[in-house]
Amino acid sequence: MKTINCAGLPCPKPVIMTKKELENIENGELEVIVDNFAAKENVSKYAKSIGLDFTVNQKENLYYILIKKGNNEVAECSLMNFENEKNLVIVVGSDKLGAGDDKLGNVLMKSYIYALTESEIKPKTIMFLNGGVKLTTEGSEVLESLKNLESKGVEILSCGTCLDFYGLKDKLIIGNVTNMYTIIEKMNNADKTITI
Amino acid sequence: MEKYIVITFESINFAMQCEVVLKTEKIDYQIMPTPREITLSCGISIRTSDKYLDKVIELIKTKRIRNKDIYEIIGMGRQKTINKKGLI
Repeated sequence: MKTINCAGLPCPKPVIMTKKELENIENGELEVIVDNFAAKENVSKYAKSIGLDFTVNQKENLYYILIKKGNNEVAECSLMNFENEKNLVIVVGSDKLGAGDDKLGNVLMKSYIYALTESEIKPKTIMFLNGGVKLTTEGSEVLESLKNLESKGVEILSCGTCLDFYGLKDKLIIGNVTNMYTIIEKMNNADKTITI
Repeated sequence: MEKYIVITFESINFAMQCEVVLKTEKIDYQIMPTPREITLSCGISIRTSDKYLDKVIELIKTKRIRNKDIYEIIGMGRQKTINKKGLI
């Protein structure tokens, strides 16, 4: 069994290394060691996307992912599946969509969030900033759509400073509170960030 | 599977008027883009539970809401059956 240690490597290195190693293995097992949840998820997702079985063990701060590869697996062209799941981040900086008439902007935002729930490609994270936090808190008219998105694995984050500014700190209904460091991190790690 | 009704409008202004009425009547609704199957235009529609169908029909009459049509939609996400409800 071959082992590759990907601890400390930035995303998407662990996945790329896993792919390379798996190409060299015809029949056997590969152990991938990573040191964070996101890397564990990404490597697991990749293994799953090419139809390989795997098990994950956590020891202290490390994850040991054991991937089994048999004879009859088709590893070709399957990185495409993985790549379909790009890390898309949407930043919502207002409770209105577009500039112009506020009433229209309100209606358009509701329509936008609703349409997101029906989109095949879902963002990994939606971050709400400034007036955008009015959408994740009490009185928001898009809570149902946001709950729907969250149930499909979309991470919902609201800016803590903004919640505080609008006096909405204890009125958050959906998702978690975040800060500027996390916002930067999410944006920088994203394959694509859409700001609306 | 879910079942809901979609109210469509000739103009977004009528949709906004209808929204005000539904809000006053405390009817749960969601603003949504008009489903592609109904029209290709970038319209705004209002979605609500099918349990409100009679109530909505009544409000359209009494509050003079200028809607275009009402559709009943059964399905999940992109796979759905759309039935047009006769004009009132």
